[in-house]
Amino acid sequence: MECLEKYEIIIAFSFFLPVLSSLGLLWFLLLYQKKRYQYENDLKDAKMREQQLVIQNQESLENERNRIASEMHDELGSGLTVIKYLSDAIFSKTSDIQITADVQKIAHYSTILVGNMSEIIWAMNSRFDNLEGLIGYLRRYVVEFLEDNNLENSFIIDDVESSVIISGERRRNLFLVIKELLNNSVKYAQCDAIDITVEGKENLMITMIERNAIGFDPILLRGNGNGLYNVDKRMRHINGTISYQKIDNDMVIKIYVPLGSSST
Amino acid sequence: MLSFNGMIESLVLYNYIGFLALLLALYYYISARRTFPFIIPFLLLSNFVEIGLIYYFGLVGKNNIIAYNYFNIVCILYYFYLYYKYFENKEWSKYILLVAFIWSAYAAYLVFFIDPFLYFYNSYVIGLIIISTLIILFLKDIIERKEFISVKKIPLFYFSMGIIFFAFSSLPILIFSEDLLFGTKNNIMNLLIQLGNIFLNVGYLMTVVSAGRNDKKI
Repeated sequence: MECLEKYEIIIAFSFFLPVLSSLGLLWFLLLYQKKRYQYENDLKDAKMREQQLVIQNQESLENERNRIASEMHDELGSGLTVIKYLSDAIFSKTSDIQITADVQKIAHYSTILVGNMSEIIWAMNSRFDNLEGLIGYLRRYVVEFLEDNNLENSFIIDDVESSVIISGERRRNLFLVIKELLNNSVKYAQCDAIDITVEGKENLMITMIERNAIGFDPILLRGNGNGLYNVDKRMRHINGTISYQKIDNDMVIKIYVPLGSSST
Repeated sequence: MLSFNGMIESLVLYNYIGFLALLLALYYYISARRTFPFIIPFLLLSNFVEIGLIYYFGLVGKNNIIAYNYFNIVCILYYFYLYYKYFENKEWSKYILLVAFIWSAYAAYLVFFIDPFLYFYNSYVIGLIIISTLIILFLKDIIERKEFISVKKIPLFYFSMGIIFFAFSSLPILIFSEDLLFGTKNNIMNLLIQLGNIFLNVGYLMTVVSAGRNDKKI
């Protein structure tokens, strides 16, 4: 009888201890889950704070860029314009050939400087950090430049998501690529007209067609000058590609730039 | 007569799990992956005692208690070492060493000076209770530490789970072993001890897997 009681105690104990340990472990798991939940929340908060900091940094950087752009425009731009007008004034008053030539040079370089500075200001101003800003500026430049050089032209904007963000650096590189290509067209292509089409939704595609152009082989030309070398370098810098193709009488140049969030 | 077939027949489930843990630990070691501290020597010894030596003693009709007595001391000391390593940076960790020393002196005294052929449950039970306390402190530390580390990435967690399940399922049997050994419920005792050993060896196996898959040492 006594022996049976002992066994009952042992069995009760054998049952009680594992139950107790299971309850203890359950308690541990509950606390552990609570800590895990808290940790995940803390992690989310930290990420949020980090993102806010990044945004704040970007904002302050943009403000600084805008401030510099604005000051360049106000101070340097007006100064250069004054130099240009003063040069023009001296030019109209003097009859000395040497002075006239020098003053003409001053006026010429002032005009170039004003143009270049305007490009830099445009690239720096975060207000234009989107496709709309880029295409608007390109369009104005292309049309003015080709008309100044008496070339027929068309600039077609096709299916463009104008709000897509594109950084100042990429805008400036793209602009300089187009500028170089247009310069080359005017200087060497001997074409009748230039048609440009811009498409940009997920990626930016600029197609430039030189009508009735003599064409060129980019591989043969690459070693000859800095122009195409710089174009290639700039395209690589913005993760873009450029291709040249002679189709019948036309030279077709295609520029492709990815517009993903990581590439802007 | 020693035979391989005879040894295989005498094996129980937890022996296979323990052997699998050893093979996996060796595989991880050969593959230059991280292994749990001293797990290979420990599992080698464990498999040698649990499979080889116990079978041999049983076969030659000798008392296998002496093998268990020595192995239990090594086993508990290994547990002490692991938890000492875990709590090494704590101020009170030196007391783990002190307790381990006192316990091992007591266990060694029983084995060497009393009777090596007498199974000493007392020292083993006391050792397991101390280790269980350390495991509770270990779990408390996981909860209370500042940074959060997933238990999946802590091999010692699996090890601790194996020991704690073994301890809590086997302690009543070990405490009342005298009554059970001489009573009629010997089969129940064996069954429960085997269940506890399954928990223990699954713990070892999971520890080896976890250490091999994670970069955390303990």
